[in-house]
Amino acid sequence: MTEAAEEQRDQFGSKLGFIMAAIGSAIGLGNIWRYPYVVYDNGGGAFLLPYFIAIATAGIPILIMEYILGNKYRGSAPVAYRSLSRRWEWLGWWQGAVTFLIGTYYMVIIAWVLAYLYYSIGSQWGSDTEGFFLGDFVGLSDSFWSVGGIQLKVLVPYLIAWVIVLWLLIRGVSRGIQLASMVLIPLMALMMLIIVIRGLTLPGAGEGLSVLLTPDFGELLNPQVWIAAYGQVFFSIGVAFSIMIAYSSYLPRRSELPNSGFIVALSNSGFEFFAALGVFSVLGFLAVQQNTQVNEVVGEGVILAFVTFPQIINQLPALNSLFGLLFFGALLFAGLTSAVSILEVGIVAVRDKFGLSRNRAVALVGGLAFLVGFVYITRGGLYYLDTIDHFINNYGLVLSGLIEVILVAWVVRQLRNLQEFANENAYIRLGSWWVLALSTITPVLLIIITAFNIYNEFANPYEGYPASGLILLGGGAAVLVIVVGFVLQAFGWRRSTEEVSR
Amino acid sequence: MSAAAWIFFLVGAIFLWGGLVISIVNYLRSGRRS
Repeated sequence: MTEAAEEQRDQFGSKLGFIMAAIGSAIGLGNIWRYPYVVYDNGGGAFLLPYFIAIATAGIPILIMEYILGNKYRGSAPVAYRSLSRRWEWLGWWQGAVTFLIGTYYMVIIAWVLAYLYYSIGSQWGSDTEGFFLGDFVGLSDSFWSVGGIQLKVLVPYLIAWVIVLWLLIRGVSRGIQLASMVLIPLMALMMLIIVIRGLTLPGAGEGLSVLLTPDFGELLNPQVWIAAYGQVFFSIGVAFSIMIAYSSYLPRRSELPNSGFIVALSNSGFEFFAALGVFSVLGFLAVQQNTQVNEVVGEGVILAFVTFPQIINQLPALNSLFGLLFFGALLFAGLTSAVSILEVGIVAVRDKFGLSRNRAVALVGGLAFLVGFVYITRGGLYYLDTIDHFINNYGLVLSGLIEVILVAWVVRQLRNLQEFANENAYIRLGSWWVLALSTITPVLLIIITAFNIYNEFANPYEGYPASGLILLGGGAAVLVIVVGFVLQAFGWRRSTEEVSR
Repeated sequence: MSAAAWIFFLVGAIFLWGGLVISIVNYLRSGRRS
């Protein structure tokens, strides 16, 4: 009998605990640093129309489907897909490998946030925030293949970040993941509330919000805007990471699922809409301070968080350090609750298949991710992180999500069965809209997005990086995770289905 | 803030936050049963 065979399956302490953990997973760094720019860049207020449609026809339906898969088959993604059809176990490992790879660099970004939490005290980044981030802090090398040494300023927070996350993961589902989410998510929401209120009371806030929300209806005829809406919803809610399958496997059998899906998806989208108000009000303030237009200061991602926000903090009339602590604290809490969910995917999968105890699985998955993460704390690390993130999102998450819905809807044709399973305990019954969304709308849109991504890859090489880097690192990572999927399927199961789902 | 921006702020707030409130009320009315 394997180590874990005698253990009962981990379980959330309460339904609320599950919902908070799922919200903690869904709300991550992208809600704060990606969504506001996506709205601005894709028609402003008019973007809300495709965004709502994407939530209703893809985000919520896929999320609910993943909840049902995890709860019905009481296992991680490899267990769930194997239960649908033995030949498809690899899809679960593929998604697990994609999520694992994301975890390796997600932890590095959390390390940056931790460092900036410290640098907030007295605005230690100085007046040249870009020079500080790219030069002093990450020490970005001159060219893509110039790896450079380990950056000590990143190494220290990286070690601290891993200690925190490993501690939470070892504590388990209810005493670690659930507890962290129950504490950190309300705290983060409170911090964002303070940031938004402060932002709205700054000069220039109205101008910033006008730039964010004034609609450009002409953009609705642009297919790229619709692709952006579906892409945003897909990445933001966190479907195809197989996190939601893992989390719902920790619920009691036959739990209520559809309404939980609505709560989690709308919490995630409601939060990012709220965060966008804060981000654009302070961008409006920065534009006023620099006597320029809002369009000149907008940005997204790493640059928004680590270059633009420090600039904004420098310009504030008072309590600069406190604002910095609130902003980077909110990013840290959003990031930590997502990081534990990302790593939990690999942990639960190897436990289910190989019967490892939690401690051993955490050591194996966490230890491997920790070592791989060293690639990104070199001086060339930002290039590698950016490249792998781009490829793994577009050809890992989107493509595996596409195959996931095709498998369930068209290959094994289980949508109606899953619908009946969910409706037995649902407050909101899943109707034909759910089946239509998953069988038709979602696959068609994911095919369009994938075709667009492939076309774009050749038309505009990502960030102008060298082809060797894009092919070897980006393409290599995207292929490697598929190979890992098939290799892990080939291993024998150390546990029976009954042992896994007990 | 422009009038158009205000309108779209309200649209976002009503759909996203309103939808969230309704789903939370559903959850609470069910007695938080699993």
